[in-house]
Amino acid sequence: MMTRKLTIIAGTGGVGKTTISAALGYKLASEGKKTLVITVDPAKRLANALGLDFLSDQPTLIKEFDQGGQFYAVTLDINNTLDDFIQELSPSDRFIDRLKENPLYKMIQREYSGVNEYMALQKLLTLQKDTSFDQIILDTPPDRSVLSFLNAPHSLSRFFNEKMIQALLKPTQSKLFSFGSEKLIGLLEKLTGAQFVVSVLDFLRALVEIKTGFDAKLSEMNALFESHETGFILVTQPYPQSYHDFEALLSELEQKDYHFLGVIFNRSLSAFDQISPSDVQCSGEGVEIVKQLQADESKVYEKLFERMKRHSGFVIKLPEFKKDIHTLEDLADVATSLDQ
Amino acid sequence: MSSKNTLRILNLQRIEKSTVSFVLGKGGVGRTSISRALAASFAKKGENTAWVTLEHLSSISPLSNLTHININGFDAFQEYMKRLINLGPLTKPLIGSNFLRYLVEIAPGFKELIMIGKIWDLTKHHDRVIVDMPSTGYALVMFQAIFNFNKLFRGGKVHRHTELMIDYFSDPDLTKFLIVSLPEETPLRESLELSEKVQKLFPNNAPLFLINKKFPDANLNLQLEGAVPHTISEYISARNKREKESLAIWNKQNITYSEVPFISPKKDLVLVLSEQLMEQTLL
Repeated sequence: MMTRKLTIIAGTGGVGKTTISAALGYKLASEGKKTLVITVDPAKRLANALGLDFLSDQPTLIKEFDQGGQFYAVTLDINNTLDDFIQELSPSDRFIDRLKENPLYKMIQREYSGVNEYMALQKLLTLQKDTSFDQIILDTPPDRSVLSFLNAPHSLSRFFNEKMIQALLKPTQSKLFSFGSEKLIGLLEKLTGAQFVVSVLDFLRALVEIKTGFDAKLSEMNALFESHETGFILVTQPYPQSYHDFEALLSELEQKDYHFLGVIFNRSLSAFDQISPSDVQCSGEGVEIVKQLQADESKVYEKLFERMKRHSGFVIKLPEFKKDIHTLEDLADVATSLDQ
Repeated sequence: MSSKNTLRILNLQRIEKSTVSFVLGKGGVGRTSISRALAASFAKKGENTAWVTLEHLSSISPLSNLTHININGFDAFQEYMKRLINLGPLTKPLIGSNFLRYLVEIAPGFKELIMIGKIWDLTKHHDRVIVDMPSTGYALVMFQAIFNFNKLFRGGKVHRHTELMIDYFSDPDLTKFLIVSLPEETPLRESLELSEKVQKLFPNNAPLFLINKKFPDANLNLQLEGAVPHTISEYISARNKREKESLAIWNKQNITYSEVPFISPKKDLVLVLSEQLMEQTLL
């Protein structure tokens, strides 16, 4: 199973990314590497998987191995990062104060406008510059299409779209817009009240001021995704819907020419097919369901295998584990299964 | 049937009273199937029902008698603007302009407000509106947008609408929040967290819980060596045990919930689910 200096674990909601990210980190550390697992984790999944109540936003040593490997974990504190971001890009303190007064700015902090993902990438950029780590694993945000995570920098750049800025801030420059925009602003004010429109335009002016800095960060992030030192692992499950999501994600990676390392087919039921001979009480209904799931899984796996022929990436099947993963011992079990 | 089960099943009867049901939950729990089946079961009873999805991308096969409305942010905004403004011949070009499109894009939460506003509007035209909400975090963003803009829109026509929406969604006789979960630790924990967050926004409207895909209990209780099951019965036994243990935490806290069993992939999901759900409301 291949990894790169930065390995990004991607896949849609509920497939097991966090557990796998942690297990992979554990495995690499057990092989003597200094490893860091990064997560955007408002629901504290990673902390739970490690048997902790919470994770620090500074890399914390989770386990040290005899051969010298070290397993670190860190989480992104979403609430603070937007402020950090603005701080870093702001031309002045006055700018920051003015922006923080804007009601729209306050709303962004709670939004899924791409900001959380952008912040994770920001933190990643910083952490990845720490050359003391041999390997970094990024667990991508849960409950959100990973397509949008990868696209976050671009979706935020819509705020800095030149055409739009011209249209909104300098309507009189364009004959086409001049009459329309003024009329529209007037109309909008009747609907939303003057405060909304003023806030939007003010917000936009503020964004224009930090555009240059933002563009520079954007380039850095793109460079990171495209780099030879970065690779993507996709995680999926043996259901038709999961396969569909996997397909979409893989196409996206292909389009962008990112390095695709392989796929982990998680919670597989194909490793067993016997009914225990000593047991006679086995419920017919449950057995029927499992057999049907196994049949469906084979079909999905076949499709996956075909699709993977275009790549030299790995295909790993992980079995469904007996219990939930929330101790280091459990993680060690998953890590062992990853040895394929 | 034990009294505990009856209590759980009766839960779903409370949906009967409401007009709009928001089906919530994290990714992978079955929101789409459940919301669609719920809508289908009401439609079967002859009620004027709309099943609503929000900017849903993958294809869904249509069901007869069931109206499926897929809400798109900008389209909904244009529709809304057309209703509130009339500029004669200027209306169309102005409303379709890039200027407005950019404005909708740039204001954080604005598009989400428009979409949830459209859902509220649908209650005027349908007896039932069942909404397949996006995954947890984004669903909360949509609800939060109503409150944010309620504060921000002072002095505008739209402000009144946000007030009405807050009232409507706060009323348990009109609105239901249905949180779907799997009988597994992580989804269960997140469901409770989600419920708390929804209750903070709508204090008088406690969400209902529905546990989806509960695996049939085979009563095996096998002792398993190692971390991984090796036979089908070992798998079933382990799964039953895990699910029981996860739900035990909820049972100890006296959390009431409805249960929907794991339905074999061979069967027509919507058909079986809507029968299940109908059965439950009739009991």
